Amino acid sequence: MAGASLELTLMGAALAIALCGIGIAYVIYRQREGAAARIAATFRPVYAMWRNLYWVDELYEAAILKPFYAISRFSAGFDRFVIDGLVNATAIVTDITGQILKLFQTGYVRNYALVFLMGVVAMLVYLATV
Amino acid sequence: MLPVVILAAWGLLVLLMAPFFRETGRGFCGVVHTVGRCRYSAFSWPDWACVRQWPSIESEAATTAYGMVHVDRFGIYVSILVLAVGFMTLLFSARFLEREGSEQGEFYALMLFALAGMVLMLETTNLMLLLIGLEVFSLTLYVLCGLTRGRVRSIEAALKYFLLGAFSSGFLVYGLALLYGAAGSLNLAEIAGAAAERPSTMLNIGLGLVIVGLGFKIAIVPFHQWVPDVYTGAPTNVTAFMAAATKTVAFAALIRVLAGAFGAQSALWVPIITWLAVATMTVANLVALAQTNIKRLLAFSSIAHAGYLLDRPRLHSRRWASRRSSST
Repeated sequence: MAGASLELTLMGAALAIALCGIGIAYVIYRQREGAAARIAATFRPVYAMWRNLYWVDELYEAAILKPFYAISRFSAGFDRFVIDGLVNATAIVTDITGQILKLFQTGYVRNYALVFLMGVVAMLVYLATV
Repeated sequence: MLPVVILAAWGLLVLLMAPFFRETGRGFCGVVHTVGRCRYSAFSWPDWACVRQWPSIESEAATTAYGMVHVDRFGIYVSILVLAVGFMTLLFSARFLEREGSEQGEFYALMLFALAGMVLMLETTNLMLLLIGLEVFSLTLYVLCGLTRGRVRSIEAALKYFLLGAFSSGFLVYGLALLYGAAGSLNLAEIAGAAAERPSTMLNIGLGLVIVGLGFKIAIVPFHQWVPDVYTGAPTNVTAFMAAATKTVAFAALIRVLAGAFGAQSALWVPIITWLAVATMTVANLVALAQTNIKRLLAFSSIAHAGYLLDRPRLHSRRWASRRSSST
C-alpha cells in the first residue's frame, strides 16, 4: 500500500464530503423554501446542540471565565483597598508622626535644652542601673 | 604638633593682615589663607603616605609633649578629610562673602583657628586636650555662625548654638571630671586600665556624659534640636563646613573614646549607642518629611546620616574588645 495513493484517496474523500455538504446546504437553504425550518423543527434538540456548538462557549464561560472574573474582581478590590490602603496608611502614619515630632522643634532654646536634658536623664538612669 | 601650630599661627597672621588689605583687595586674605594651608600640607607631607594604608585606630602612633599629643594614621586620615572639607568650603566662600557684604579677613582667620582646633582634637588621646580642641573650634564656629551680622537669623543661629553648646560642654566637662575622679587620669589608655581593674558607676556615668557632649556636636537625637535652626541661620558656607567637618571630628573623637578607653566595656555602651542611632535615624527622617524649607530639610538629612554613622561602632566593638584583652 503506497503512502501517496492513500493520501490522495483521503484527500479525494474529504473533498467529496465537503462538496456533498455544500450541495445539501444549497438544496436545503436555496432550492426548497421552508425546508431548513422544517428540518430544524423536526430535530430540535440536535439542531439546538449543533447550532450552539455543543454549548462549549457557555460551558467555558460558566466553568472558567466567571470564576476567573470573580477572582480578579476580588483581587482588584483587595489590591485597591487592602494593599493600597496599607501603603497609603504607611505614608499617612509617617507623615502624621513627622508633623507631630515637628511640634517639638519650637525654636526656643529652653525647650531644646529640656529635650536635651531628658535625653541625658534617660541615659544616666540606664547607666546607673546597669 | 607642628601642623596645629602652623594653622594657628597662620590664622593669627591673616587676622593681623586683614585690616591693612581691606580696601586694596579682599581676596588677598584668601590668598594668604591658601598659602598657609599649602604650607600646612607641605609640613605634613610625610604623613600623607600613611593615607594609603587603612586608617585603623590600632595603627602605630608617635607621641610627644609628655604623651599629650598622639599622632596615628586614624588622626591623620581624619585631619586630611577635615582639611579637604575646609578647602572645598573655601572655594565658594570668597564670592559668597562678597555678595553678603560680610568680613573676609576674619572669616579666613576663624576658619584656620577652627581647623587648628579640629586637628588638635584629632591628634591626642588625652581627654583634656580633646576638650581644648573641641572648645577652640566650637568657639570659632559660634562666631562664624553670626558672621553675617546684618541678618537676624544669623545672629539667632549664633546665639542658639552658643547657648546650647555651652550647655552641652558643661555635661562634657562634668563627664571628664567624673572620669578623672574614677581613673585618676584623663589619658585614654589609663582610663581603659581603670575600667578593666575597678569598674564603677562613676566611670560609667562619666562615659555617658562624654557621649552626651560629643553627641551634641555630632547632632544625634535627642541632642539635635539646635541643628535646623543653626544650619538655616548661619551663612551657607559655614553651614557646609559645620555639617561635614564638625560631625566628622566629633565622631572621630567618639570612636577614640569608645575604642581607646572603653573597648572592653562594649556591653556598657553598645546598647546606648545603638538606641541613640535608632532614635536619630527614625526621628530625623520623619521630621525631615514635614519640612518645607530646603535648608531645614538638609539639616534633618544630615542628622539622619549621623545616625547611620553612629550604628557603625557597634560592629567594631568586638574587635576593639579583643584587642584590649589581648594587650593586657
